[in-house]
Amino acid sequence: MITIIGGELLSALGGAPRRIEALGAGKAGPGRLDTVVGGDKISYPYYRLDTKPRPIKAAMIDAYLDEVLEALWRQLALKPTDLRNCGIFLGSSSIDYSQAAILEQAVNKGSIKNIKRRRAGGGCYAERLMKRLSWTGPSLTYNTACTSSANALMDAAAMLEGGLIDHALVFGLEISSAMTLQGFVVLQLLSREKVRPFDAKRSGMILGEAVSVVLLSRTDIRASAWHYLGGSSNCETFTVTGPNPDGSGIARVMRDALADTGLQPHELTAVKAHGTAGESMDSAELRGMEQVFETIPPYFSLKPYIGHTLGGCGVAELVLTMECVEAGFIPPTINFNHLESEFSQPPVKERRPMTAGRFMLNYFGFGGNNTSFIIEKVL
Amino acid sequence: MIYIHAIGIHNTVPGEKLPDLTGELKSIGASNRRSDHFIQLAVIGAHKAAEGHKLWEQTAVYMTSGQGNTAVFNRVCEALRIQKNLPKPVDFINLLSNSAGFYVAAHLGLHGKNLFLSHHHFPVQMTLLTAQNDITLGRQKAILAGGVDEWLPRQDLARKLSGVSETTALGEGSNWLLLSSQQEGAIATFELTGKWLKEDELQKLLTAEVKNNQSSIAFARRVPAAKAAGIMSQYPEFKRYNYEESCAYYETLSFYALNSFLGGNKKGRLLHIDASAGYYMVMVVEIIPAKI
Repeated sequence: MITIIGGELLSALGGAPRRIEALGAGKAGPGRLDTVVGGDKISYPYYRLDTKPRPIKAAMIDAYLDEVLEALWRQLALKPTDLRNCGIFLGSSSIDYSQAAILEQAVNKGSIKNIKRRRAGGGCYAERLMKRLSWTGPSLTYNTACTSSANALMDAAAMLEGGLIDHALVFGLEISSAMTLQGFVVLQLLSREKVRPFDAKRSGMILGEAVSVVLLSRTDIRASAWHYLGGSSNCETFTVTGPNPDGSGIARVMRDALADTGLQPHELTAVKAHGTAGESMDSAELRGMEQVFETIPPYFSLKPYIGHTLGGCGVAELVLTMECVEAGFIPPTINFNHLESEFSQPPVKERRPMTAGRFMLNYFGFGGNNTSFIIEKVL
Repeated sequence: MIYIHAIGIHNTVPGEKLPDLTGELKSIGASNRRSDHFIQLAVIGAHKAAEGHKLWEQTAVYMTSGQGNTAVFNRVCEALRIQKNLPKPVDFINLLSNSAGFYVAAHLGLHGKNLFLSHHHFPVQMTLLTAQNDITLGRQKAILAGGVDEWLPRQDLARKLSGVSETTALGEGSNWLLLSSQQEGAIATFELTGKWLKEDELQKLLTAEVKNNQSSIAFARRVPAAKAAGIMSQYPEFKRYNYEESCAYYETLSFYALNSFLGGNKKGRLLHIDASAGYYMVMVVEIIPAKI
């Protein structure tokens, strides 16, 4: 059995005590981020780690990864030398961070001679982390859009199961970039006001930043009540921008995740929904759940608390879910008012007591990627 | 050990100009709508591996690349910084390197797991290690695993991103393997030791390999020539497999090395040795002779 030893998170919610307070009280909201559209500066809601302007640089991303890992070591009273044969798995929808500075510099063609001859590419952050920890061995970086770090977690669990590694650090990484924000502006997927998952008047997603990490192990190096039970990942090719609106692909990945764990739908305690507040995405998710469950378990979205952290959301929302249950509740889906008439079961609207159980976590994204996995907390 | 059922090779040395793939795409019945060169490369290479095989629709797609879809990233950078334009929707979507995996799955009618993986030192080996582990555990029945790298017209930039010398000739390729746990119908076996080997562990592996007197050795382009020559003189029992003459450099060339050996021989066993950061990874493929 794969044990989830612990997790940490940097997000707009701040440190662990503040996170629990915000989630318990159902209070959070985005900051702002400016971008230029058609020559005009427009301000969008954005859940930011901090408000300082900061161009994306390798050193900054390294520093965030180190910061979240340091917090995990402190929380677990561990140090890197305590873990032998540990793999690193990193999921991000923007693994091209490593190329960003180089390409931006190269746009000014005259300056190319000043660019260092140093291999870029998606794997460099995990590699540098390995180096700083003085570890060798498996590391992988995943770019599967919004399922990136969820897929990284599932593959880490498979490598643990296969005996290739004894422990795994799984990171989710998403830092704001002008390119990402402007891309979503072009696609007209962003809300200019609030993120309202599953609400009939939802108006789109709000992006967020998060850097998160969980430690998985196949040996209980620290007592933990949390275990990874299994999951599934698939690709539906209805459209490159998301799942089939009829919910069939989403239903399939949830059924496959249940089959992988040997659980029946009624044995789930709650579902952490993807819940982006996208018009088509949320409907597809509700339709998918209706196909799988006779009665949909209590479900909630964490996007109103930290925003849609894209490839980072797999691990970031896992950490938040575990923290809430550790604190004895699942959080309300804030900003939700009414379902569309087609649907009958609303998300959790008030904080609900919950101290243990089996939780399904769902993630869907561009590229037709759907991922669903199940974790358990035993009392 | 897992089995290789098919290979797909698309390997070119463009020279001065980006190759036009339109005709080839048309010949395989693939659409070029909303795609770009990187995606088209992926679809063509994967199609070649899948051709003639009735793929199970849950076949997974595991894809890797040295730099991913760099051309579109560069195009979006230029739009933002020089033309002061927003990115085109299609370019923004294709920025995600896993969009290529989507188009591969769509072209081949697949609905299985679809990954885009990166690794700084050993992208090919780590992708195949993931595939080998998933197949061995029974988590996947069949996987199309491939490496895709595109040639960039801005060669100076491409060389800097790849960290290779100013004189390195660059090529492009999309090379795929159809992998499965099923022996029936397989053309070769595949085995990869997950452990990164130190020098003494490599020597131990090679010494143990001497008993297989039909073994050939291929070296990844990163293995220094002197090191490769040293191994060949230390182990005269092995034949050197030279694939380098038929290709120029790209980061997932190791896929091409395996595939060209499998495609060009009726029997034999190949050890592919790659080196980075003071460690080695060794992939072994052995051709299963065709039954007469």
